[in-house]
Amino acid sequence: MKEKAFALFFLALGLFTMPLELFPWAPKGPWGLPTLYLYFFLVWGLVILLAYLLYRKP
Amino acid sequence: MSAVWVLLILFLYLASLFLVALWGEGRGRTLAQSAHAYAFSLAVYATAWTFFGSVGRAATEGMSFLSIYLGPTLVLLLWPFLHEKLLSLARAHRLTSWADFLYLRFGHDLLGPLAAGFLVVGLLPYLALQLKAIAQAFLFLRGEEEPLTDIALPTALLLALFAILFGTRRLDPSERHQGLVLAVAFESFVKLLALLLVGGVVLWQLGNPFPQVQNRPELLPLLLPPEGLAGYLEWASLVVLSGLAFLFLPRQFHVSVVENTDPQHLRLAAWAFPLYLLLINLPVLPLALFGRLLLPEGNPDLYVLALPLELGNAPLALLAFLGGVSAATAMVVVEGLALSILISNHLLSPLLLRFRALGSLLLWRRISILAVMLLAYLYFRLAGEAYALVAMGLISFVAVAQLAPAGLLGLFWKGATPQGALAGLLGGIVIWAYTLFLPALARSGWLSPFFLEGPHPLLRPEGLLGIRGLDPVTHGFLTSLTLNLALTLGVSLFTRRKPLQEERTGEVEELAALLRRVLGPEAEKAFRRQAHTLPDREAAGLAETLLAGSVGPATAKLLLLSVTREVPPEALREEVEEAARESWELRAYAQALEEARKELAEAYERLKALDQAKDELLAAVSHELKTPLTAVRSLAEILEANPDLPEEERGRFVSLLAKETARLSRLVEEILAYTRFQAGVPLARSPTDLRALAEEALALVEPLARERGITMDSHLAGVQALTDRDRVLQVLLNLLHNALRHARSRVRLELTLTNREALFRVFDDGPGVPPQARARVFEPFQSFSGGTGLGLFLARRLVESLGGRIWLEEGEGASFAFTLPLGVEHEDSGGGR
Repeated sequence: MKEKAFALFFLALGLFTMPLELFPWAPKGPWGLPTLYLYFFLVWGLVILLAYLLYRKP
Repeated sequence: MSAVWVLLILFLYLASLFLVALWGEGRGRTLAQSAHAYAFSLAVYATAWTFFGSVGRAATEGMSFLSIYLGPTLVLLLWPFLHEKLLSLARAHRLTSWADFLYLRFGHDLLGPLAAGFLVVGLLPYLALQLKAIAQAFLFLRGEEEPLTDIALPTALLLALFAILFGTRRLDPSERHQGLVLAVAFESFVKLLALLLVGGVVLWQLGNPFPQVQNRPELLPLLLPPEGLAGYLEWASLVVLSGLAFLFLPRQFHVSVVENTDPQHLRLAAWAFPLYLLLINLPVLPLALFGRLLLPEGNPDLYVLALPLELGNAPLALLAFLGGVSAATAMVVVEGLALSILISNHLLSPLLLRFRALGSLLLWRRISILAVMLLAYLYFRLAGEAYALVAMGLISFVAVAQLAPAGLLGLFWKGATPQGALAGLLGGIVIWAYTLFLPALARSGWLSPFFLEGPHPLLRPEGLLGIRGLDPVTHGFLTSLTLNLALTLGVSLFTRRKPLQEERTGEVEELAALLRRVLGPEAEKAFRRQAHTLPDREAAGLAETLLAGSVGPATAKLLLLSVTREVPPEALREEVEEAARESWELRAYAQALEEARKELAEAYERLKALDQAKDELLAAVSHELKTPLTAVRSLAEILEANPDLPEEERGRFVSLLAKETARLSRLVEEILAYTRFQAGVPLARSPTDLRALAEEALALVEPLARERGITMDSHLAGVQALTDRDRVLQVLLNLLHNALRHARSRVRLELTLTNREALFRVFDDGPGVPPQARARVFEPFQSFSGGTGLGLFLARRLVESLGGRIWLEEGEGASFAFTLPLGVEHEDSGGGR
C-alpha cells in the first residue's frame, strides 16, 4: 500500500502544481464555467476518489 | 440587524458547544471516538480565514485561494508514512507536540523551549485574526464599521473557559478529550453547512455568475492562472506551505495525533477530509464573483455576510455569521489548548521545578490558556486594523513551517544532529522575522520604515539578494525554508551524532513514589501495574514517559535524576551486547552444524543399508539361480553319460529338466520385472475395467488350476478405475499363482468397491502363512513353498506404486487383499516406498 500511496502523492503533486501557463485556459468553458476552475475541482475529485479506493479497505 | 439578537444567538451557539462537549464526554463518547468525528475534527484547519478570508482572497487574487487546501490533501495521502509513524511515537513516548518530538529525537535542551516560544509568537497573530473575524462579523451585522467593539473579549473569555473545562481536567494532556473532539467536529459540520447553504441560496437567487463576469474585463484575470514565473512560484509555494502547516500546526498535531484513538481512522480521514475541503471551497469563487459584481465597494472578507443581506435574507446572514463563528471558535479553542500545553511543558514546568512548585502545573496550564487568549485579544486590539485576514494567516503558516526541516529530517534521517536542527531552526526563525514579521509590524506603524527597506538594497527584507517581483509571503517562505534546510543538512553533515539520551535505571519503589508526588496516586497505580514485570531500566523509561506526558520531556528528565542512576556507558554496553550477539550466533552456527552432521550420518546409514540390501539381493538371486542351474546341469550330464538309460528313467529326467528350466525361466522373468520396476518405468494410466481384468487373470491361471485340480471361483463387482492395467494384472497373477501353489482344493478371487477404492481379495484353503513368517511375507526371496520368493514382494511394490496398499488378512488358509484408488493420486512411478 505504501508504494501506491507514494505514487498517488506524486500524481496529485503533479496535477496540483503543474505549470498552468503552459495550457490555454479560457474564462468561459463548458456550461459557462471557467476551465481553470473546472480543471482543479475535477482533478481534486479524482485524487479523492483514488484515495478512497486505495484506503477504504484495511 | 438587532445587536441583542445577534448577541443572543452567538451566546446560545457557544452554550450549545458546551452541551455538545458534555454529551461527548458522556453518552456521545462512542460517536466522539468514531472515524467520522476524527475526520471532521481535522477540519479545525478551516478557520475564519477559510470561511471569510478565502472569499476575500478569491475576490482579489482569483484561484490562488485553492492552493491553501490542496496542500493538506497532498499531506494526508502520505499518512502511511507520516501520521502512522507519528502516532506510534506519540503512543510510545506520550508526545503532545512537535516540540516534544524535537526534544525526544535530538535531546537538545534548547530545542523544545525555542520551538515552543517561537510557535507562541508566530501563532498569536493567527489567534488574533480569529477574534477579529468574530468582532468584524458582529459589527457588520449590526451595521457598524468602526470602532471594533469588545464582543471579542467575552467570546475569548468564554472560549478560554471552554478549553479549560474540556481540555485541562487532568494534568496529563496526552489523554483523549472526547468532549472537545466532538465539539470541534460539530463546529466543522456547522461551518460546512453554513457556507454551502449561503452559496446554494445565493446561486439559486442570482443564477450563474460566470457568464456575467464575461462582460467585465477587469474580473476576467480572476478566472485565469497566475502569470509568469513569480505567479507559478507563488502558487506552488502556497501548496507546499499549506501542506507543511497542516502537518506542523500545533492544533493539527493535537487533533490528528494526540486525540487519535485508532490509527485506522486515518483511512477514512485520508479521503473524507479532502472531500470536506473540496465541498467547502465549491461556493467560494461564485460568492467572490457575486461580491465583486454586486458589492464593488464592500470589504471582500465580508462578502459571505454581505451577499445574504443584499438579498434581504437576514436569517441566512445570521447562519453565515454562525458559520464564521464556528470556524473561529474551534480554531481558538484547540490552538489555545495546544499552545498552553507547549508553554506549560517547555517553558513553565522547568521554572516551576526550580521553584519547587510543580504541583501547581495544572493551575498554570489553565492560566496559560487564559493568558494566550488575552494576549491574542490584546494583539487584535493593537494591530487588528493593520492586516488583511489572509496575509496574517500566511505569515503564521510560514512560522510553523520552520519546524519542517528538523521535524521531517528527524523522522526519516538518522544523520540529523541536534546542532543541525538547532542551527536550521534558528536560521529559519531569523529570516522569518526579518522578511515577514518585522516588515508586517512596520507596515502597521509599530516599527520604523527601516524594517521595510533594510540596511542595503541587497538586504531588502521583502527582496533579499535583489530578488524582485515575488509576493512577500512567497519570498519569506522560500528564503527562510531554504536557509533552514541548508543549515539543518549542512551542520548535521559536519557534526557528530551524540547518543540520543543517557539511559538511566532505578528502583521501582522510588520511581513509584516520585510519580505519586508529581502525578498523584492514580498514576502511581498505573505505573506499578505495568512496571512490576519490567527490568529496572525499562521501568525508569516507563516512569519518564508517564512524567513527560504531563510535565514535558525536559522536566521529566530532571525529575528522574533524583531517583535514578546511569546505566553502564553506551560503549561498554554495546560491547557486551555485541559479545552476547556473537556468542548467540556462534551457538546457532554450532547447532546448525550438529544438525547437518546428524543428517549426514543418517543418510550414510540409509545408504549402507541399501548397499547391504543390494548385496543380499545379489546373493539371494545367485543362490536362487544356482539351484535350478545345478539341477539342469546334473540332469543333462546324467543323460549325456548314460545314453542307454531306460526310457522310463530318461522320461523322468527330461520331465525334471523341463520343470527346472521352467522355474529358471519364471525366476528370470520376475527378476526382470523387478529390475524394470526399479528402473522407474513411468505409469501408463488409462481407464480400466477391473472386473474384465480380473476375469482375464483368472483365464490365464485356469490351465494351472486345472492341472493341479483346484477349483477357481470368483465374485467380481463392476469397477472402473484410472490405473496402469499391466501392473494390476501382474499383481493379480502373482497373487493367484501364489494361492494356487498353496491351495488344497479351492481358490477364490473377489472384487468389491469400498470408500472410493477397489478392493481385491485372493483366498486359498491351504495351510496359511506360519505366524513367525507373517511379518516377512512381503520381503524378497522369502519363499516357504518352493517359489521364487519374489512374487509377493513385487506385488507389494506394484500396488504401492499404484497408490494402493496390500496386506495379509487373518483367518483360515491365506487371504491376501489389496486396494486400488479409482483415480490414482499418490502414485510412485518407480521407487516404491
